[in-house]
Amino acid sequence: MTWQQCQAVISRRSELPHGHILLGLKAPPVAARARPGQFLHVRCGGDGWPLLRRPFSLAGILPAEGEVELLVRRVGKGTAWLASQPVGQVLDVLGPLGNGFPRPWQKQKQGDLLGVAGGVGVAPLVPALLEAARTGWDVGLLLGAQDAPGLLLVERLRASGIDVSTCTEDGSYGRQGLVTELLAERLPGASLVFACGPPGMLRVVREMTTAVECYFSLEERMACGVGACLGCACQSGDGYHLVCRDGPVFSAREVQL
Amino acid sequence: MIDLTVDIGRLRLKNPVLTASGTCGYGREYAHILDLNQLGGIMVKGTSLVPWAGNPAPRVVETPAGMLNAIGLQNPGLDYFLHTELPWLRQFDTAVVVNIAAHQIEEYAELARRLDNAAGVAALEVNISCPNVRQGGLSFGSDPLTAHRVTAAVRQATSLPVIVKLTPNVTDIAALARAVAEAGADAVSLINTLLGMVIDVRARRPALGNIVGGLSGPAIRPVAVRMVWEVAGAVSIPVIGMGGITCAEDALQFLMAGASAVAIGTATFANPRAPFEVMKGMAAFLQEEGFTAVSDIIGLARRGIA
Repeated sequence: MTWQQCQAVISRRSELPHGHILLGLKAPPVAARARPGQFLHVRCGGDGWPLLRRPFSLAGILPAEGEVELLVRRVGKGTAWLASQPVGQVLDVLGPLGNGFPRPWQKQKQGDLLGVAGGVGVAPLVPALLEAARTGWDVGLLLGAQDAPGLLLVERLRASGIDVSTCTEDGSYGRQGLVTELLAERLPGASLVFACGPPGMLRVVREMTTAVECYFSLEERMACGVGACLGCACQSGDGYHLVCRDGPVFSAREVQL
Repeated sequence: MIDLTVDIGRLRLKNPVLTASGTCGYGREYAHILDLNQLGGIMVKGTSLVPWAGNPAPRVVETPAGMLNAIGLQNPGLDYFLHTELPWLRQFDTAVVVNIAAHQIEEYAELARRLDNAAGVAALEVNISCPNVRQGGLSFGSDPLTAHRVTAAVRQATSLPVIVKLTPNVTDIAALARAVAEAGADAVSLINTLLGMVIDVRARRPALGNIVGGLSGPAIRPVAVRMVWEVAGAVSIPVIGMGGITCAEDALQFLMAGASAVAIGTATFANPRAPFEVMKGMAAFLQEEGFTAVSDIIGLARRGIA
């Protein structure tokens, strides 16, 4: 259960469109214990700057290889530093952190899991979708992005037997429109929905999923990442939850967006 | 063998390194990788009579060499602390300093009374300085007369050592220190965070849900060292120094400025073992420089000056 502070070595890196990068990290203690939906808190910067760590969802969990994967989007100094590090670079990481997704496929032989993601929000869903598919569940992913290059990790998921439907806002690939429009068509039949993306998208997903179990992976600015500083609050009915400790995965009905 | 013990008035610490309030919770989050037994003490999360919900998100934003926070003293309240957190903390051989927060003087006194008989509490740290809670924090700590009243009320309500935590958001921090010393404080701790603000220009809004927040981290360290220097020269009670300490050398600055102990705060978020590393590094420095006791360097930089 408990997280560790350990070293993670960049074992591979691949550039993806729009400044994204997929990092493979050799970190056996993390890979052995990580569950889908958990995250790593990574020190970015060799000389102590930026000061705070950056949280990244686990986009891949490969216990046999002792590896995990992170999907990094360059948005600021920390992520730019991380994305520029070479293979072999040693990182200081805390993890695995957070609660992770529920995994009913461990008990129920059959089910129909539907992932709904916007852009880089696909990252935390990947390990959950792959694990569910491996146990024989029917697994689909609805992925939306600004344009065709923004549809990340699609080929990899399709290669693993995930039924991926895509849409783009500019119509350059898949259907033109929003991912929630796809959801309206695909929702009947789904027994469980996992979603990650911008708050506007999640609000619509919540409205549409009143009759089915639905979980969100949320994002918030964090300092400690372990529940000590109480910085990553998200409003719930009875006060605040912490995204790092109580989440990042929440029942859709449990949090306000 | 270096003697690391220091005395904060009647409170003896096994070494001069504590964790700063609000940065280490009640110790649980880090206990499995940071051996609390190795620390001089833990200053727990600010605790109020009843649970406080805290401020809306976003509550933190990074700044150059620091961060702003506006947590709003979210805490589970005194009853929860006494029944759940304090019994757990008793297993550790370290000084548990309970930071108390309140909106009214009577509440401070009530907190002090109820903690007075609680086994395992080594001292109280009175938070009169948190800038985040509109109804109280700032006003108690920014006026010497009010600070005196709070301190006197807490002093009367408890036999525990009373440490008053001072805010840097004042014109003359030494005047505040003199006021609380006169009211019976056993020690002062400083500095709390500096009031600050960040605006997200894309969103065209303040970055924090609370609009303003408290600045911490290395960015504030020189301010903190200067204020510790001033306060140590103004009062005869011990000073606990804090503000942007990340390593032993940072901590030694505070001791040489006149602090008897230090607390590690924001650095723990980046490096959970920072308090332990500061303590080890401090001992190594003393050894290298030929000192036998950490108490020998307290105020060392003042010699011949102040």
